[in-house]
Amino acid sequence: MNDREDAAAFFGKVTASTTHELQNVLAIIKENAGLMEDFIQMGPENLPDLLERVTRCLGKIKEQSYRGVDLTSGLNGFAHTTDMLLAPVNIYEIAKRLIFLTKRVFLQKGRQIVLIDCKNPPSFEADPVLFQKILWNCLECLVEIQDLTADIKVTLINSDAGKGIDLCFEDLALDNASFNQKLQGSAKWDSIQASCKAINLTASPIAQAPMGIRILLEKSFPA
Amino acid sequence: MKIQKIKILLIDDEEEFISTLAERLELRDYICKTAGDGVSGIQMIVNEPFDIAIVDLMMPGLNGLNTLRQIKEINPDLPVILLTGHGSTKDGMEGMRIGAFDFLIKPLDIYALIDKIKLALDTKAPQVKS
Repeated sequence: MNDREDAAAFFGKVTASTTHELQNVLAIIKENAGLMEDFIQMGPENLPDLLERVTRCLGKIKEQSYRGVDLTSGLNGFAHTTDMLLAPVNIYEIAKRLIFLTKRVFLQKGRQIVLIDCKNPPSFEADPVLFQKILWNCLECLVEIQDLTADIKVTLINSDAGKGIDLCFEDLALDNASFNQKLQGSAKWDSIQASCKAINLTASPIAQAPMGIRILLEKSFPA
Repeated sequence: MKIQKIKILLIDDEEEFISTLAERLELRDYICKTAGDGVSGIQMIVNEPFDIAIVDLMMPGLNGLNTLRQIKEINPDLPVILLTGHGSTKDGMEGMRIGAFDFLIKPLDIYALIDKIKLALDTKAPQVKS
Protein backbone atom coordinates (compact mmCIF):
# COMPACT_ATOMS: atom_id res chain seq x y z
CA MET A 1 0.00 0.00 0.00
CA ASN A 2 1.51 3.38 -0.95
CA ASP A 3 1.30 6.48 1.29
CA ARG A 4 -1.71 7.91 -0.50
CA GLU A 5 -3.68 4.64 -0.29
CA ASP A 6 -2.66 4.27 3.33
CA ALA A 7 -3.86 7.81 4.17
CA ALA A 8 -7.12 7.25 2.28
CA ALA A 9 -7.73 3.99 4.18
CA PHE A 10 -7.03 5.78 7.47
CA PHE A 11 -9.46 8.61 6.66
CA GLY A 12 -12.04 6.07 5.52
CA LYS A 13 -11.87 4.13 8.78
CA VAL A 14 -12.14 7.22 10.99
CA THR A 15 -15.01 8.62 8.93
CA ALA A 16 -16.85 5.28 8.84
CA SER A 17 -16.53 4.88 12.61
CA THR A 18 -17.76 8.42 13.33
CA THR A 19 -20.67 8.38 10.89
CA HIS A 20 -21.75 5.03 12.29
CA GLU A 21 -21.92 6.65 15.72
CA LEU A 22 -23.91 9.49 14.20
CA GLN A 23 -26.38 7.00 12.69
CA ASN A 24 -26.93 5.68 16.22
CA VAL A 25 -27.47 9.21 17.54
CA LEU A 26 -30.02 9.91 14.80
CA ALA A 27 -31.69 6.54 15.37
CA ILE A 28 -32.20 7.37 19.08
CA ILE A 29 -33.53 10.85 18.26
CA LYS A 30 -35.87 9.40 15.64
CA GLU A 31 -37.24 6.70 17.99
CA ASN A 32 -37.86 9.22 20.77
CA ALA A 33 -39.59 11.62 18.39
CA GLY A 34 -41.61 8.65 17.13
CA LEU A 35 -42.53 7.64 20.67
CA MET A 36 -43.83 11.16 21.40
CA GLU A 37 -45.83 10.95 18.18
CA ASP A 38 -47.27 7.62 19.41
CA PHE A 39 -48.30 9.33 22.67
CA ILE A 40 -50.05 12.12 20.77
CA GLN A 41 -51.90 9.57 18.66
CA MET A 42 -53.19 7.96 21.86
CA GLY A 43 -55.39 11.04 22.25
CA PRO A 44 -55.08 14.35 24.11
CA GLU A 45 -56.96 12.94 27.12
CA ASN A 46 -54.00 10.61 27.79
CA LEU A 47 -51.30 13.24 27.54
CA PRO A 48 -51.39 14.45 31.19
CA ASP A 49 -50.65 10.87 32.34
CA LEU A 50 -47.83 10.62 29.80
CA LEU A 51 -46.10 13.84 30.77
CA GLU A 52 -43.27 12.11 32.63
CA ARG A 53 -42.61 9.83 29.64
CA VAL A 54 -42.71 12.76 27.21
CA THR A 55 -40.23 14.65 29.41
CA ARG A 56 -37.96 11.61 29.37
CA CYS A 57 -38.09 11.49 25.54
CA LEU A 58 -37.18 15.18 25.33
CA GLY A 59 -34.28 14.62 27.73
CA LYS A 60 -32.95 11.80 25.56
CA ILE A 61 -33.26 13.91 22.41
CA LYS A 62 -31.34 16.74 24.08
CA GLU A 63 -28.64 14.37 25.34
CA GLN A 64 -28.21 12.77 21.91
CA SER A 65 -28.06 16.20 20.26
CA TYR A 66 -25.04 17.01 22.44
CA ARG A 67 -23.48 13.66 21.54
CA GLY A 68 -24.08 14.43 17.86
CA VAL A 69 -22.50 17.86 18.17
CA ASP A 70 -19.40 16.34 19.80
CA LEU A 71 -19.12 13.86 16.95
CA THR A 72 -19.61 16.36 14.13
CA SER A 73 -17.24 18.88 15.77
CA GLY A 74 -14.63 16.16 16.14
CA LEU A 75 -15.08 14.97 12.58
CA ASN A 76 -14.94 18.53 11.28
CA GLY A 77 -11.71 19.22 13.18
CA PHE A 78 -10.29 15.95 11.89
CA ALA A 79 -11.23 16.85 8.28
CA HIS A 80 -9.56 20.25 8.61
CA THR A 81 -6.26 18.66 9.55
CA THR A 82 -5.77 18.22 5.80
CA ASP A 83 -5.81 22.01 5.28
CA MET A 84 -2.08 22.53 5.75
CA LEU A 85 0.93 20.36 5.14
CA LEU A 86 2.73 22.01 8.05
CA ALA A 87 0.82 23.13 11.13
CA PRO A 88 1.23 23.27 14.93
CA VAL A 89 0.45 19.80 16.30
CA ASN A 90 -0.80 19.67 19.88
CA ILE A 91 -0.18 16.01 20.60
CA TYR A 92 -2.77 15.80 23.37
CA GLU A 93 -5.59 17.41 21.38
CA ILE A 94 -4.88 15.33 18.30
CA ALA A 95 -4.69 12.08 20.28
CA LYS A 96 -7.85 12.94 22.25
CA ARG A 97 -9.87 13.59 19.09
CA LEU A 98 -8.61 10.51 17.28
CA ILE A 99 -9.34 8.24 20.26
CA PHE A 100 -12.82 9.76 20.64
CA LEU A 101 -13.69 9.32 16.96
CA THR A 102 -12.40 5.75 16.72
CA LYS A 103 -13.64 4.50 20.08
CA ARG A 104 -16.11 2.08 18.49
CA VAL A 105 -13.51 0.54 16.15
CA PHE A 106 -11.40 -0.54 19.11
CA LEU A 107 -14.35 -1.47 21.34
CA GLN A 108 -15.41 -3.86 18.59
CA LYS A 109 -12.03 -5.50 18.90
CA GLY A 110 -12.55 -5.70 22.67
CA ARG A 111 -10.11 -2.87 23.45
CA GLN A 112 -10.46 0.41 25.20
CA ILE A 113 -7.98 3.18 24.52
CA VAL A 114 -7.39 5.35 27.59
CA LEU A 115 -5.74 8.76 27.20
CA ILE A 116 -4.11 10.03 30.36
CA ASP A 117 -4.72 13.74 31.04
CA CYS A 118 -1.75 16.03 30.50
CA LYS A 119 -1.55 19.59 31.82
CA ASN A 120 1.48 20.58 29.81
CA PRO A 121 1.15 18.76 26.49
CA PRO A 122 4.05 18.81 24.05
CA SER A 123 3.49 20.33 20.62
CA PHE A 124 5.53 20.67 17.47
CA GLU A 125 5.15 21.64 13.82
CA ALA A 126 4.48 18.87 11.35
CA ASP A 127 2.01 17.45 8.87
CA PRO A 128 -0.97 16.74 11.19
CA VAL A 129 -2.36 14.07 8.86
CA LEU A 130 0.86 12.12 8.98
CA PHE A 131 1.06 12.40 12.76
CA GLN A 132 -2.51 11.13 13.17
CA LYS A 133 -1.79 8.27 10.79
CA ILE A 134 1.23 7.33 12.93
CA LEU A 135 -0.93 7.23 16.08
CA TRP A 136 -3.59 5.20 14.29
CA ASN A 137 -1.05 2.74 12.91
CA CYS A 138 0.52 2.35 16.37
CA LEU A 139 -2.86 1.54 17.92
CA GLU A 140 -3.75 -0.90 15.14
CA CYS A 141 -0.31 -2.46 15.33
CA LEU A 142 -0.61 -3.03 19.09
CA VAL A 143 -4.11 -4.47 18.72
CA GLU A 144 -2.91 -6.85 16.00
CA ILE A 145 0.13 -8.18 17.83
CA GLN A 146 -1.65 -8.86 21.09
CA ASP A 147 -4.34 -11.54 20.92
CA LEU A 148 -5.56 -10.91 24.43
CA THR A 149 -8.03 -8.13 25.07
CA ALA A 150 -5.65 -5.82 26.91
CA ASP A 151 -6.60 -2.14 26.96
CA ILE A 152 -4.12 0.44 25.70
CA LYS A 153 -2.99 3.42 27.75
CA VAL A 154 -1.80 6.55 25.94
CA THR A 155 0.49 8.83 27.95
CA LEU A 156 2.24 12.02 26.84
CA ILE A 157 5.87 12.65 27.66
CA ASN A 158 7.05 16.21 28.22
CA SER A 159 10.23 16.24 30.26
CA ASP A 160 13.95 16.95 29.91
CA ALA A 161 14.35 13.34 28.82
CA GLY A 162 12.21 13.96 25.75
CA LYS A 163 8.87 14.96 24.29
CA GLY A 164 6.45 12.56 22.71
CA ILE A 165 3.87 9.90 23.41
CA ASP A 166 3.75 6.36 24.80
CA LEU A 167 1.13 3.86 23.68
CA CYS A 168 1.27 0.86 26.02
CA PHE A 169 -0.74 -2.18 27.04
CA GLU A 170 -2.40 -1.89 30.43
CA ASP A 171 -1.67 -5.55 31.15
CA LEU A 172 1.42 -7.37 30.11
CA ALA A 173 0.84 -10.75 28.50
CA LEU A 174 4.01 -11.35 26.49
CA ASP A 175 7.69 -11.81 27.28
CA ASN A 176 10.10 -9.16 25.98
CA ALA A 177 11.52 -11.27 23.17
CA SER A 178 8.12 -12.27 21.77
CA PHE A 179 6.87 -8.70 22.02
CA ASN A 180 9.84 -7.31 20.06
CA GLN A 181 9.60 -10.10 17.53
CA LYS A 182 5.86 -9.56 17.00
CA LEU A 183 6.19 -5.78 16.78
CA GLN A 184 9.09 -5.75 14.37
CA GLY A 185 7.50 -8.51 12.31
CA SER A 186 4.35 -6.44 11.81
CA ALA A 187 3.91 -4.82 8.40
CA LYS A 188 2.54 -1.73 10.16
CA TRP A 189 5.80 -1.29 12.09
CA ASP A 190 7.70 -0.52 8.86
CA SER A 191 5.02 2.00 7.89
CA ILE A 192 5.19 3.65 11.35
CA GLN A 193 8.96 3.96 11.11
CA ALA A 194 8.80 5.45 7.61
CA SER A 195 6.10 7.97 8.57
CA CYS A 196 8.01 8.97 11.72
CA LYS A 197 11.17 9.58 9.74
CA ALA A 198 9.26 11.85 7.35
CA ILE A 199 8.31 14.26 10.18
CA ASN A 200 11.41 13.98 12.37
CA LEU A 201 10.05 11.56 14.94
CA THR A 202 11.48 8.30 16.16
CA ALA A 203 9.47 5.19 16.99
CA SER A 204 10.86 2.55 19.30
CA PRO A 205 9.49 -0.50 21.09
CA ILE A 206 9.05 -0.35 24.85
CA ALA A 207 10.02 -3.90 25.67
CA GLN A 208 9.67 -3.74 29.44
CA ALA A 209 6.33 -3.50 31.27
CA PRO A 210 4.14 -1.75 30.38
CA MET A 211 5.01 -2.81 26.82
CA GLY A 212 4.16 -0.68 23.86
CA ILE A 213 5.51 1.89 21.41
CA ARG A 214 7.25 5.18 22.19
CA ILE A 215 7.11 8.06 19.68
CA LEU A 216 9.59 10.84 20.41
CA LEU A 217 10.33 14.18 18.81
CA GLU A 218 13.90 14.14 17.60
CA LYS A 219 16.28 16.15 19.81
CA SER A 220 17.12 18.50 16.96
CA PHE A 221 13.49 19.54 16.73
CA PRO A 222 12.51 22.73 18.59
CA ALA A 223 10.30 22.11 21.63
CA MET B 1 -59.58 -18.18 22.14
CA LYS B 2 -56.65 -16.46 23.80
CA ILE B 3 -54.39 -14.66 21.30
CA GLN B 4 -50.72 -15.17 21.99
CA LYS B 5 -48.64 -12.03 21.66
CA ILE B 6 -45.47 -12.02 19.57
CA LYS B 7 -42.32 -12.02 21.64
CA ILE B 8 -39.33 -10.09 20.27
CA LEU B 9 -35.73 -10.05 21.44
CA LEU B 10 -33.83 -6.83 20.65
CA ILE B 11 -30.01 -7.05 20.79
CA ASP B 12 -28.07 -3.78 20.50
CA ASP B 13 -25.40 -2.09 22.59
CA GLU B 14 -27.14 1.30 22.16
CA GLU B 15 -29.29 1.02 25.28
CA GLU B 16 -31.20 4.27 24.64
CA PHE B 17 -32.10 3.03 21.18
CA ILE B 18 -33.42 -0.41 22.07
CA SER B 19 -35.26 0.71 25.19
CA THR B 20 -37.20 3.32 23.17
CA LEU B 21 -37.80 0.93 20.27
CA ALA B 22 -39.04 -1.69 22.75
CA GLU B 23 -41.44 0.87 24.28
CA ARG B 24 -42.81 1.72 20.82
CA LEU B 25 -43.28 -1.94 19.90
CA GLU B 26 -44.96 -2.63 23.24
CA LEU B 27 -47.46 0.16 22.50
CA ARG B 28 -48.29 -1.94 19.42
CA ASP B 29 -48.92 -5.05 21.53
CA TYR B 30 -45.64 -6.84 21.05
CA ILE B 31 -43.75 -8.27 24.00
CA CYS B 32 -40.13 -7.06 23.95
CA LYS B 33 -37.02 -8.08 25.83
CA THR B 34 -33.68 -6.37 25.35
CA ALA B 35 -30.02 -7.43 25.55
CA GLY B 36 -27.06 -5.03 25.46
CA ASP B 37 -24.65 -7.44 23.77
CA GLY B 38 -24.53 -10.61 21.70
CA VAL B 39 -23.47 -12.91 24.52
CA SER B 40 -26.33 -11.98 26.87
CA GLY B 41 -28.76 -12.05 23.92
CA ILE B 42 -27.74 -15.62 23.09
CA GLN B 43 -28.10 -16.59 26.74
CA MET B 44 -31.66 -15.26 26.69
CA ILE B 45 -32.44 -17.32 23.59
CA VAL B 46 -31.12 -20.41 25.35
CA ASN B 47 -33.26 -19.70 28.40
CA GLU B 48 -36.60 -18.67 26.90
CA PRO B 49 -38.53 -18.86 23.64
CA PHE B 50 -38.78 -15.90 21.27
CA ASP B 51 -40.71 -15.50 18.03
CA ILE B 52 -38.13 -13.26 16.39
CA ALA B 53 -34.80 -11.56 17.13
CA ILE B 54 -33.65 -8.14 15.97
CA VAL B 55 -29.87 -7.84 16.08
CA ASP B 56 -27.55 -4.87 15.53
CA LEU B 57 -24.57 -5.70 13.33
CA MET B 58 -21.94 -3.51 14.94
CA MET B 59 -21.56 -4.36 18.61
CA PRO B 60 -18.49 -4.56 20.84
CA GLY B 61 -17.36 -8.07 21.72
CA LEU B 62 -19.45 -10.56 19.81
CA ASN B 63 -20.47 -8.68 16.67
CA GLY B 64 -23.84 -9.00 14.94
CA LEU B 65 -22.77 -11.56 12.35
CA ASN B 66 -21.22 -13.85 14.97
CA THR B 67 -24.27 -13.40 17.19
CA LEU B 68 -26.42 -14.42 14.21
CA ARG B 69 -24.25 -17.51 13.58
CA GLN B 70 -24.68 -18.62 17.20
CA ILE B 71 -28.43 -17.95 17.18
CA LYS B 72 -28.77 -20.11 14.07
CA GLU B 73 -26.84 -22.92 15.78
CA ILE B 74 -29.15 -22.80 18.81
CA ASN B 75 -32.41 -22.25 16.97
CA PRO B 76 -32.18 -22.38 13.15
CA ASP B 77 -35.91 -21.57 12.85
CA LEU B 78 -35.80 -18.30 14.77
CA PRO B 79 -36.16 -15.45 12.27
CA VAL B 80 -33.52 -12.75 12.67
CA ILE B 81 -33.69 -9.23 11.30
CA LEU B 82 -30.39 -7.36 11.29
CA LEU B 83 -29.95 -3.65 11.88
CA THR B 84 -27.04 -1.74 10.43
CA GLY B 85 -25.75 1.78 10.78
CA HIS B 86 -23.54 1.32 7.73
CA GLY B 87 -24.38 3.15 4.54
CA SER B 88 -23.31 0.07 2.62
CA THR B 89 -25.45 -3.05 2.45
CA LYS B 90 -22.46 -5.42 2.34
CA ASP B 91 -22.74 -6.69 5.92
CA GLY B 92 -26.52 -6.96 5.67
CA MET B 93 -26.19 -9.11 2.55
CA GLU B 94 -23.56 -11.22 4.28
CA GLY B 95 -25.98 -11.67 7.18
CA MET B 96 -28.71 -12.88 4.82
CA ARG B 97 -26.25 -15.39 3.38
CA ILE B 98 -25.68 -16.71 6.91
CA GLY B 99 -29.41 -17.01 7.54
CA ALA B 100 -30.87 -13.63 8.54
CA PHE B 101 -34.38 -13.05 7.24
CA ASP B 102 -33.55 -9.50 6.17
CA PHE B 103 -31.81 -6.33 7.29
CA LEU B 104 -32.78 -2.71 7.88
CA ILE B 105 -30.68 0.43 7.96
CA LYS B 106 -30.65 2.77 10.98
CA PRO B 107 -32.35 5.17 11.63
CA LEU B 108 -35.36 2.88 11.39
CA ASP B 109 -38.86 3.39 10.12
CA ILE B 110 -40.99 1.56 12.69
CA TYR B 111 -43.64 0.76 10.13
CA ALA B 112 -41.04 -0.82 7.85
CA LEU B 113 -39.78 -2.83 10.84
CA ILE B 114 -43.26 -4.04 11.73
CA ASP B 115 -43.92 -5.02 8.10
CA LYS B 116 -40.66 -6.93 8.11
CA ILE B 117 -41.52 -8.68 11.40
CA LYS B 118 -44.93 -9.72 10.05
CA LEU B 119 -43.40 -10.94 6.81
CA ALA B 120 -40.74 -12.93 8.66
CA LEU B 121 -43.35 -14.60 10.88
CA ASP B 122 -45.66 -15.27 7.88
CA THR B 123 -42.77 -16.88 6.05
CA LYS B 124 -41.88 -18.99 9.08
CA ALA B 125 -45.45 -20.13 9.80
CA PRO B 126 -48.47 -19.07 7.69
CA GLN B 127 -50.78 -19.01 10.77
CA VAL B 128 -49.86 -15.59 12.11
CA LYS B 129 -50.08 -15.04 15.84
CA SER B 130 -51.05 -11.47 16.41
